[in-house]
Amino acid sequence: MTTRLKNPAVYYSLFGLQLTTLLAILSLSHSAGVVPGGLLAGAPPIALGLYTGWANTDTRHAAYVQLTQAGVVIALFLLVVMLASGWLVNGLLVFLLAIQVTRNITLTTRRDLSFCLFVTLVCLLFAAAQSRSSGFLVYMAAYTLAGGLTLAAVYQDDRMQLAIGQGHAPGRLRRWSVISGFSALLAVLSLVLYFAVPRPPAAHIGAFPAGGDNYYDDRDWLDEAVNPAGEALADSAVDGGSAGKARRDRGKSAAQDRDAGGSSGYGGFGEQLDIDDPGREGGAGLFNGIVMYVQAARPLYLRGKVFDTFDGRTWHRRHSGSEKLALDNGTLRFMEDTGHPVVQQTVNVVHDLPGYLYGADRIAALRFPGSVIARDSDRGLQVPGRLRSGTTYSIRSMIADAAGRPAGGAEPLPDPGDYLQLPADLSPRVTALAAEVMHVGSDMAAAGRLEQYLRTEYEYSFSTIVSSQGVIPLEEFLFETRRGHCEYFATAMTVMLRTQHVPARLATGFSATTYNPLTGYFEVRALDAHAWVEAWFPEYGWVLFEPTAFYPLPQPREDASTGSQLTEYLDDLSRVWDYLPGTDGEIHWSVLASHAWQRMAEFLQQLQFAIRHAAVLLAHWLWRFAPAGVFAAVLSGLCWYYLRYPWFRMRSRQRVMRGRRTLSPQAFAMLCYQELEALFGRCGYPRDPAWTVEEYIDGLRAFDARLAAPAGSIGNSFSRIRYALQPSAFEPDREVLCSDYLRASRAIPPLPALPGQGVLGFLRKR
Amino acid sequence: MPRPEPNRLFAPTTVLVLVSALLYLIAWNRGIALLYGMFALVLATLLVSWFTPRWALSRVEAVRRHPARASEGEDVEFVIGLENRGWIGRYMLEVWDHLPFAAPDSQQAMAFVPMLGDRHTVSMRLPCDLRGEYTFDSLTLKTGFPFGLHSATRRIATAPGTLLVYPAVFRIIRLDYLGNESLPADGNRSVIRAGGAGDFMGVREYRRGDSPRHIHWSASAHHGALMVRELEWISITRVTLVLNLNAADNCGEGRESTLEYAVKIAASIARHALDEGHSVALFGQGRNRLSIPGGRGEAHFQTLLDALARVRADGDTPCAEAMRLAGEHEGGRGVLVVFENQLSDAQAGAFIDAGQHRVIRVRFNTDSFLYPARRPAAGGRRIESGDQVYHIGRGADLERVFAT
Repeated sequence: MTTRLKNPAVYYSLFGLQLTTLLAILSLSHSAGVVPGGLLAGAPPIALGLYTGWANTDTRHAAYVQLTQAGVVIALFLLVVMLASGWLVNGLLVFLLAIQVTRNITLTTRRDLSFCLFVTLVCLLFAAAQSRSSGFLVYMAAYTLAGGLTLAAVYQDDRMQLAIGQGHAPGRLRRWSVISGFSALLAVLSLVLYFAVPRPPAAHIGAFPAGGDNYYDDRDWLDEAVNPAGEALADSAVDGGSAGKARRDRGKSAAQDRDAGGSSGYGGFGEQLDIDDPGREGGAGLFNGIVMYVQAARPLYLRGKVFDTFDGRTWHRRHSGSEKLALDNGTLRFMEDTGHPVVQQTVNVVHDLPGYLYGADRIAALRFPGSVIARDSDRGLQVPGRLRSGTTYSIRSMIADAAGRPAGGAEPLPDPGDYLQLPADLSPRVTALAAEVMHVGSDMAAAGRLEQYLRTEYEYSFSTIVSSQGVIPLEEFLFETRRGHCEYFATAMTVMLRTQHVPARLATGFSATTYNPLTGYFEVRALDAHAWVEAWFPEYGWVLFEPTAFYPLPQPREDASTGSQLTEYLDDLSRVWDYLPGTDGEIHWSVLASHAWQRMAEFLQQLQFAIRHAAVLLAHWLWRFAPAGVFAAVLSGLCWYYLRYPWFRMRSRQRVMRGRRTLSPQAFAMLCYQELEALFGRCGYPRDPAWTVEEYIDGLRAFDARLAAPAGSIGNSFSRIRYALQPSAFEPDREVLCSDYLRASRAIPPLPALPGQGVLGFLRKR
Repeated sequence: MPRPEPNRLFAPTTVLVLVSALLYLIAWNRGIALLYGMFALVLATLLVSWFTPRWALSRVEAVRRHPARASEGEDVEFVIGLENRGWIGRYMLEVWDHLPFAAPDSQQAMAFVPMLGDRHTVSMRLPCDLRGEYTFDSLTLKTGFPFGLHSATRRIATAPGTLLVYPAVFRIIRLDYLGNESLPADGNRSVIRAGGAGDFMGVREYRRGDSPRHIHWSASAHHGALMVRELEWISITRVTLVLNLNAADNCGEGRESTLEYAVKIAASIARHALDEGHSVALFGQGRNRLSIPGGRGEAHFQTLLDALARVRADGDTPCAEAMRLAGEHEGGRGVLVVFENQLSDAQAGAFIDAGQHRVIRVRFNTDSFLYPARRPAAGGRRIESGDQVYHIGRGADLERVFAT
């Protein structure tokens, strides 16, 4: 037996619980307006439903049943809308929540409450799996508090209903302060366990996810992938005819679109990279928000693009072409297992980026929500257009170990000349310096010495060096200022290696080294766009070097406690503030205020956009599905009109047939009469409550003469049994009754009468 | 009415353990830190739910106080005093006591204490369902504080106590055979009073039918009209209640058994007879012989009640034999009230011949006690073979039956 919940505190707590869950789900959205909008839209229905559940005493009242059914219909409607818009998972979540909001109306027992707890826990679990923000812990703490209060209230309510005696209850404030205290204890204990629980390396069984709000498709690319013309990797200067020119034009426009740096503003993903002005702006207007979250087992450099040709000031690629590759159901495998460790990375893009697939070299397999990608001669992967916010893709990279450095594994270098190119006007001082630092020899150790020399002898500075006309940036960096940003360091090492006949190239991408132990993700910010060096050695292949001071080489983390990881994360965050442009290590409050104002303006703008977008989406959806909706409505109407009566009759007959097998003769006689009355009532010929059975049967006879015998027989049997003064020994024949019922049911008209006509006609005939 | 504890397929803690294991597996597979957070949350809930109740029950003592006697149907209040010897208050304590005198579905009674500071008392009030002698020993403290997911239990020994529940007594207005055979006639009315000899009450005018022996001549001369003496005739009847304590003859269960009905009727007859000034004795042959000699007054009634509260149908002496023994034991004349279960006439006749007692027979319709679903037969009083026979079925209104 389920008892009714009586304590209003249970409903208060449930309101907090559901509201917290709603906020946790809304926090997954990257739009600033979603949270307050969703809160305004969701809180009143939750409150109203819970109030109704607490206040009503008869949950089977017709009004509540209809209200619940209406809520279910609305929930289904929302699900269909979101599925049609491509939001499968979010749609299911919204559906689940909407169902719970509807059930709040009839939430009166512990069973209902258990279902509510289950729904909110599942929603919170899903949100935890999707969230990338440390702030989600706040929602979990709030959920803990609300859940604790709910459980305590239910427990007390249950015990007080069971008790026959009761002691003095403490004051409300004291009672809830005690419970809140224990809930807070629970939250603190949870936090301690969260830091203490061992986290073995992830198994990733069946977890190679890709998805998001965007699907990347390009027909030209797909055609090229399916029918490669052999010109994919050719020099862009070769005139391949009009078709080739058209294709190259389209490729260039796509590249321009792809390489539009987005908010990151980093020129390292463009056609060429100016080491003096890589594209990062100085001052307070710089965006340094998180652009992607990376789930990986170790810190990584996610490479986007490689440059191989340097003219003294800018880098560009000798070969601009690319090979188009079609994905097989979103998956592409590049190489088989080479025995090197495999590192899986799942990248969640939260800000529009240039259209490269950022991943650690050397990519072995890819899963991406698209039909085609492009690959250049240096294994850089590109997508059609820009990489949009909301995209998720996964990469498996085989990372060899080259004396503690990440490497792509041994592979031949067919044309090392591409990577030994030097600027025509390179100063001999550079070559001499390289020789001096690296001593004699061109092996990895020498390269390592050069790397350490640059890291220790030069200073990192985010500020752009303002160069006057005629000054060569690289030489000024190496011999005059001895400070600069990462492009200088990387360029210096690349050039100096090349002077010592070591094939080297400059790679750009993102540094995924800031690990947030609270969420388990590497947080990649806009200013983590970075440049580093890759040098080729026969036994290791392309090996990663990090000559820039302040940037650590991405190496596997030693097993550290979560607490120390948290300390490291906070240190990283503080360094982010320290090296904001224009600060040189000091925090300028004007910079902070300016950032805050910018965020406020962005929030208002996004709120406005969200409202407008929702209206456009709704109109678009309605317009898109209007014909189908109209057709479905018409079809439904026709079915309802033509099939309603036959459906009622079929269902009634089924019940009678079932009763014939299972009921006693007297009970069966009662059933036959009740079904007869119900059937005719549904078909527009109801019995007036003031009529006796005999009067009703007379009315049926007058309506249709065919009903005279069968209805009379059924009515007589019913009267004898139902209205006998004493328990009757009369046992009617079931077969006769069944036959009479079937004959009577055939008198149902095939189509409904006009509104009111059937009833009026029936009454007139009476 | 308190409801029983619901049977759950899985205990909440079992569900939480499974959920936490599942969460850990999911978190490990996906490598998502926040899922470890969910695992930590569930695990912390389990730990708090496991250890806190045990702490909440520690250093709490209890004592019980209750009355020594009560009657069937009367509410009995049990007062339990709790003392917290810890420094911190205790919350959401459940005090469970087994009260066997209550109805079967109410015997496990619980008092809920939301907060226990230093000392506190709670009371539990329940109606006595069945007469008898009940003993109480330990109390049980239980709590699921704070979330009710897992409960800890602790038994607290208390001083043994006893409660004697007397049978319920209903009012009997009149019972035949209680009084002298030669009933004085005063006009058309018989006066039956017990407790003494014929006492002069006063004079009144002569009415047709009065005996001439009662004319008071001096009063008549004084009043100038015939006046008669009015006397209070007193007769004492010795009433012996003979209970059928044969276990095989006891039909029904609990309150709805022939023995319980018999005890109620016996107590009520004793009340009525003693109020009328008669002498009441009690006899029964169970495992041990129950024999309380005749007596009068309130103290004797208390003695009878004490015996009736404890009597059990644990013997194997047939009813007729018990009646015979009662007749022999009592000897002489008097009224025997016997309780029988649809004895055959032969047995009844054998008994009647055994003595010179007048018999009031209370005959139970055993079918109604054996088959509770059947409609109970209507009770009533009849004269059979010169005996007053009260037919009692299950559910009969005894006061109404004995008023007929």
